[in-house]
Amino acid sequence: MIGRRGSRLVLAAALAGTVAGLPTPRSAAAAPTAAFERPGGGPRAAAIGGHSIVLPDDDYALGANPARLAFAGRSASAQYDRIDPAVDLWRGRVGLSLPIGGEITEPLQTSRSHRAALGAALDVLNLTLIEGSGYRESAATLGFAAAPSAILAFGVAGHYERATSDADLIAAHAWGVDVGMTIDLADHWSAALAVRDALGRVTFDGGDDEDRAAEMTIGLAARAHRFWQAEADYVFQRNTTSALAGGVEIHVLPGVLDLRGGVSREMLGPARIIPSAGAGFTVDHLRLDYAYRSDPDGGMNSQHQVALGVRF
Amino acid sequence: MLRFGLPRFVLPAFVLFALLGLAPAGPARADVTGLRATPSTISPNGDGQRDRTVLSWTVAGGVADSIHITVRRSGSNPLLAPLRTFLLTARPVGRDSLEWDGRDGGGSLLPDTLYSVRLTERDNTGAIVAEAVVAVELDTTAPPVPVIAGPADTAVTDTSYAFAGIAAAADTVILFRAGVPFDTLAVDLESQSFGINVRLAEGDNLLAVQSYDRGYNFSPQTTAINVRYVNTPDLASLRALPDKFSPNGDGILDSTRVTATIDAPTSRLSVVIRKGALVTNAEDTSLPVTVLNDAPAPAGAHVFVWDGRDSVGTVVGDGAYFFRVFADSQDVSGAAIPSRVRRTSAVTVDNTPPAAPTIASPAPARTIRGSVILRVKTLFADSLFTRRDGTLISHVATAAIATTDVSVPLAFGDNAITFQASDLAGNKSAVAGPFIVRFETPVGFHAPERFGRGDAFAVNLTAPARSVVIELFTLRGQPVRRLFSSQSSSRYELPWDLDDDAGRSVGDGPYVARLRVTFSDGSVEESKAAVVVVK
Repeated sequence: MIGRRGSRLVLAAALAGTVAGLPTPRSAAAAPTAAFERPGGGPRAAAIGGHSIVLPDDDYALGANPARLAFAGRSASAQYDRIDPAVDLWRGRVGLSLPIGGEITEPLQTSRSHRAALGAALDVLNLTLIEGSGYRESAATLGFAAAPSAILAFGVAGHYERATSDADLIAAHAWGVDVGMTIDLADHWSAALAVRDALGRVTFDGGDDEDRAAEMTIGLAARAHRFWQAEADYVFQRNTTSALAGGVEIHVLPGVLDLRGGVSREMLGPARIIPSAGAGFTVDHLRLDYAYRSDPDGGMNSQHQVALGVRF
Repeated sequence: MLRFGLPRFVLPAFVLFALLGLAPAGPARADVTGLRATPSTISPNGDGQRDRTVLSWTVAGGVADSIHITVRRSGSNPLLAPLRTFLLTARPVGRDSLEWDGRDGGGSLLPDTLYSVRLTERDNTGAIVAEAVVAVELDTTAPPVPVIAGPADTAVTDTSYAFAGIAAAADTVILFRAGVPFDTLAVDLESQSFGINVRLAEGDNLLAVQSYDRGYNFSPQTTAINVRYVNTPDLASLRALPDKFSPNGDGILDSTRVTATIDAPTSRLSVVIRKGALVTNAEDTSLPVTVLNDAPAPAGAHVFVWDGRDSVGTVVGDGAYFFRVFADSQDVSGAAIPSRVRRTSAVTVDNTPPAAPTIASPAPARTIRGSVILRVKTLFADSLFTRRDGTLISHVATAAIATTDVSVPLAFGDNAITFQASDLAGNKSAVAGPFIVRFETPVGFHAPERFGRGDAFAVNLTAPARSVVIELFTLRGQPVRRLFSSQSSSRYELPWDLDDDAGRSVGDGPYVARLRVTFSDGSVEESKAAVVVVK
């Protein structure tokens, strides 16, 4: 008879096998698009390195790792990112997650899991172009997660995007599919794998039909319940390591105040270090998250993200 | 051996040298080779043509002590005395020769037959060292007069005449026209015949022939025959120009013309226009339209113009037509012969103007570059005319259905750009435009918001700068490309080829450009802008 610990090892082995068997993301030789690139995960993920896929436990799981929707419960959020005022670059988002299956949380399990869950989100991006015209990207995302057991979940999300502009002849449409899985390896250890834009195409009016650059992230998280949790992520894109990221969240006042910090080493093009920090305030069912990132080598000196979420 | 006081190694060494072919050489021995008689057939009749032959040979390896050359009738008993003997002594190394005039030792001319010339080289002991034989033929007999085939006198209407005959006992014939040789022919030795197609001059052609053999014995010349060439009208191939025209009275390609050239007068030169496709070997389904000429005509070129009207003066409709031309010929007596050759040339009547050009993407209202590229679509046109403020800028050939990128240089201020298409028939489309494009160089950081291949960033400053750097990023901050200019100027134009720093083409989408301007005093100004790349 395989015990609880033994079954998790089996699942971990299955996860490793799945990772090894994943198709290689498409090469960059096909000039993947630069449009519709959205960091997922919200301010909380942004504050702990920007590539978190294991720790999201609310509706932001839809953009980070759709498998985490199974651990999101009922939540909703609204987000605003002030990226670069010089070009009036900002992002906005509203999202929702809903469990649609029964709760399967095991005794003493620190995360709450459901048999199945849905997620939906609307994203917008605004940018002012060089001669003053506006450029906007909008996306609608719908995701689904299924958890065969309390510690393992799989998810998939599909998104459709449009780009419009006041300038003539700038318009595009796109679609993409994200996939992911997550597993609790032990009482304090979790791992996940997510592939963003595993499938997808982008077409600008008058331009070529282009690939989207698939991005695979492998993350490992550790947590001490009510004290802290941390995550390390490896990101693979365009046939190379594209980023290494990590961060920690400290529950300064458990259930009230969280402080976060992280760093990311982005390696596509000239390597650059992006530090990040943030905080989360929880009052009853409401939570306010804030993140700050500084990327001077990426042309974005100070980025601020703020989001208001609710669990219901 | 040792008694002779030779060293012990001398004998083995000599044996070894002998075996290796390196033994000391004895006296050089002459060798005579390569005996030839040139020519091998002679006619020693004193006419100066092949009266003697040159016997030649090569002496090698040393002086030939004695060379005997004897002449005998071929096949005669070698024990009998030769008819002619040459004795040569101490002949030097190299090519040697002597002449034989076909006479015997007594100076008498030998009779016509084949003779054997034998060369014998002997050494100083009289032993034969080398021997060679060649044959020489004596032939002083002239071939008989050739016989010309065919009638003695004739008249023909073709410029080519088959001139043939028999030339017995001859190798070659000489052809004469009016007593002047104009060609030579080899005689077929088996059939003893000759033949050639002679190109005749108009009128009388007095042809004769004379033969000769290898001994250059010439036959008498034949009596000349007279071949009279009667020139009859031949119609050269013709081509209508232009092959597309528009008889609409606009002064451009309103008519087409064809030139019918005949080399002799004709009793009837017919030029008609028919509607339909050119008739090849199928049944002629074309319809007569009009007759441009049906009358006698002198030799020469005759130009016929068709203005696109039928026999009652009405301009015909668009479609395919063709000229059909023929000229009656005549026989040698001058009687008319209906022409068997009908020349045709196709033309197309096209009064339909092509569609007005359209531009595939709207012209920019303003630009910061000194030229603008407009993508123009044309339909059923052959040429595209581009004008700026009424001045012709370019005239380019296009395909029937084409999209053409037209680069229009701009002047400062507003530029009114128009396009007009035309077809090969000269029909012009309506004018498309004007499309107003304003060229200006405002101060600041500029670029096309829809950034494509060939586009550039422009930086216009109020004061000269020392350098400018433009760094391009994706919206996630990934550095893509660095553009740089270190020229001192107040106006910069930095093109971006849409490649990243690694030389790979970038994808479509938005990019942020960070501009850093370094002025002469070391101060730096920075600004940002965004463009959307669409390749």
